[in-house]
Amino acid sequence: MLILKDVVKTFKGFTLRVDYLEIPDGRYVVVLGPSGSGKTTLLRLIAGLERPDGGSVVLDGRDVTNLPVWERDVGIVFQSYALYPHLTVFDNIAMPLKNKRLPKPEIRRRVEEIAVVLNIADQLHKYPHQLSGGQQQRVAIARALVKEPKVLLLDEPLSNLDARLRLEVRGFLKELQRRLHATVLHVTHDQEEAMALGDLLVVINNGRIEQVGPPDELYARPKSLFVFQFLGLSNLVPAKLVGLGEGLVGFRPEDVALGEGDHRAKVLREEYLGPYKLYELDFNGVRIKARAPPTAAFREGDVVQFSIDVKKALRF
Amino acid sequence: MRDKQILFLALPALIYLFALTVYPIADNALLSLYERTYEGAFKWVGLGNYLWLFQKDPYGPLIIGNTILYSVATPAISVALAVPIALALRRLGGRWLLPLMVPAFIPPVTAAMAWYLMLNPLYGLGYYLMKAGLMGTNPISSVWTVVLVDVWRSLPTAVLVIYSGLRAIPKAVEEAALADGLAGPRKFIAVDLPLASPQILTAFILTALTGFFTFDPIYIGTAQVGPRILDNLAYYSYEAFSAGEFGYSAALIVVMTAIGTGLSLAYMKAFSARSFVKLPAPVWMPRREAPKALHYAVLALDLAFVFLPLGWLLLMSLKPPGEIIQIPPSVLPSRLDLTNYVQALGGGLPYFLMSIYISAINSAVTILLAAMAAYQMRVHGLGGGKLVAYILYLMSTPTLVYIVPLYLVVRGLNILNTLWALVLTYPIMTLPYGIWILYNYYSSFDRRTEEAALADGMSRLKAFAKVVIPLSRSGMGVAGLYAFLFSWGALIFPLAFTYTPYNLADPLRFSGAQTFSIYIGELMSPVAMSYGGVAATGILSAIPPLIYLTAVRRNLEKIWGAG
Repeated sequence: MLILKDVVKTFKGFTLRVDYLEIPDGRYVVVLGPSGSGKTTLLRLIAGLERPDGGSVVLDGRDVTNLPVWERDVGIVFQSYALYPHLTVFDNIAMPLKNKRLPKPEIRRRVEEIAVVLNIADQLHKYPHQLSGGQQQRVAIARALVKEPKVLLLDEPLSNLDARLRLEVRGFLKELQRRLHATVLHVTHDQEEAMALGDLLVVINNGRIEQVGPPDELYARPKSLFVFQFLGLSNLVPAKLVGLGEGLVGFRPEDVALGEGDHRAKVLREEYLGPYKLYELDFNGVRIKARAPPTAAFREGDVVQFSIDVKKALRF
Repeated sequence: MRDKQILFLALPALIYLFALTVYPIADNALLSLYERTYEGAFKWVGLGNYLWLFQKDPYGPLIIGNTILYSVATPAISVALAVPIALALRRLGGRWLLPLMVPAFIPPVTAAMAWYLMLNPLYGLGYYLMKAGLMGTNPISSVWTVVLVDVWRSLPTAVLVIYSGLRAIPKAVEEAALADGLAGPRKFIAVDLPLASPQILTAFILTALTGFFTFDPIYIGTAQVGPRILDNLAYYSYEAFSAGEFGYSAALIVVMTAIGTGLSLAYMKAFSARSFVKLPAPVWMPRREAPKALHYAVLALDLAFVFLPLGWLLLMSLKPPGEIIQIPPSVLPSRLDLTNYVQALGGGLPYFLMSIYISAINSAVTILLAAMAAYQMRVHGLGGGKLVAYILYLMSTPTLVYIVPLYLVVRGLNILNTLWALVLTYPIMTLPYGIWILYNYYSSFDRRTEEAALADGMSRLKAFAKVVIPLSRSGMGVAGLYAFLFSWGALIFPLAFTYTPYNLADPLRFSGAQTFSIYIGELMSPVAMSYGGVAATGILSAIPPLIYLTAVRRNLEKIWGAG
């Protein structure tokens, strides 16, 4: 188990503060936040690439706060893969083991083993520039996993791949994690990717952790406006408009039923998205989104009646 | 070519380069098969000149031995010193690069002269070195002094190239190395050195070229100790040329060109190659980072190496004439005395004027022609890779190659010993370099700017003049710096094409065209014995390039990647 306690890191005009964060073993944990939120800094603090100004990082009961990177039992996969261009795939993967002074036959055995797991066993003699982007990433993952780390850190692992490959690698990563029962910490700014992959989500904003929990919990019961708006599509209207008193009320497009109800809005725009349609409406001067079946036939300019599922509405 | 105007813009530079390089290189090869008789006629001797060099010339072994020493020792020492300096720069920040680069901006004659004055065992620091037993032989007559001056001159280039190689290592790879247990010296061997190996090889070849073609330190040294002690192929071929033995000189130059071409090809290969040397990750090496103090010490030593001869030169130039030669030599002047400067400016005025004229004219010509050609080469792909390769080749060939055929041309045009001889020949030194700098500069130039100008109804010529040129100022500033530097410090062309100082009695004829680099050589001879004057001349000669350097510092740092 990885625990961060009272960790503080200050850069020019930016502070990351983590009062308490627990990463349980064997889970796929995704750290999600917009750019500049401090999510990469969090990963680098765990990796040991940055030292915190205060607080401690504890891995399986061992305080690793001031240990060098290579003594921490963490594997890191860099966004750009960061393979050694002058070494073969085999030597790239073998590098961490060589520096642990393991005997040669054991190095060979472990490299070949992990290469099979990552499906690159036939690439071991090649150089990184001879591989495709996806293969390079597998080499980077193999290099991180070969030392059997307690935590695998993935820094935006899907951002360098094209859209089609991204879905494929997404599935591969999750299956790999399940197969090895590894503890994975995956950093991303893509909320869809985060919800698809994470057993546990850590949403971070402005250097503070907003909420930690399983994706469905964060989606249905966000503790803050930020989490509500960052995960999925959202509507936010003054509570008075829907007769719920003071303040603001938030609800998801799928909680809006078009066709009948107490409220009226004008259709501004229709988006056909295959399995469903998304409507943009003018509701007393506030723009809201509503989801409807693909067969819905409202026209731009129509005034439609609608209702909101009040049980699922959130107050802010 | 879709557009004639593209070719038209590049044409002046290309016609000039082909006419003044291809013809002399070919003619030189032809001349090497002839011998000039006492009557001045050329007699066919076949390979006689070559056989003479390798079999009969009593100086042959000495010349060849010295040449090999200069071209092996210079790069070996420069690169060995440059690696720790580049590491210190990476750790402590690129702002230290500018002072370390100073030797590359001092005229080569001045650099050589400063070292010879300082090491002199009679009136220089050499006296104390000899007395303390740190130096066994007289440094003035030692070939190692030539190597020392070459290392001083070429070290900045080696540092710059290797430093840029170290900086090009991605940050993520360095961090991945940390994760894999590589740090400190162990990481240096396993990651830094292999990944910077193409740049280290490039630095080796560039400094080897400096050592192979070295001329100025031998010119200055020979003025002090006499001929046939320090000579290499380059200097010896110049001596043969000035003795009128054009055929033999041409043969020596052909030998040099052949070796130089080999080095240039190796340079081009190293420049474009992306293959790395592989080194084992030595697990016994320590992982502790070298302490910062060590890096500071390396930097301090290099700064001392850079500024010691210049400091000595400055002190010497300010001494009253009576204190220049005394035993033991004084280090500090008893009072600041400007007599040396009065003497330097008095006797040196015609030389300085001529150097200023030719440097100004040639810099302007080079910048303009180079920009016109480089833009079309880069943006419109004019000439393709072959033309770029030829430009690179010219950059790494010595100007010596051209002197014999061009001497005959200049004499035929009746402009020998005039400013016009220099104006005609100087761009050979500076144009390839200018084109290369601007060619790289234009790689990041947005060609749509020109296309927008064309869409607005301008012709290509007008678009170039009104849009491209104004946007090229920083690149042209740097190209101009190097053009000025080469023109200002030139020695071989003025030695070959001039023989009297600028005639101030009839200034508008611009005849008599010796430059200050020749003046320094004349003052260095033991006959002139004017060491205070020469020191002052040296200081004066270093000022214009250093002013120019400070002026375009920002743009240079952009190109160096230091800022």
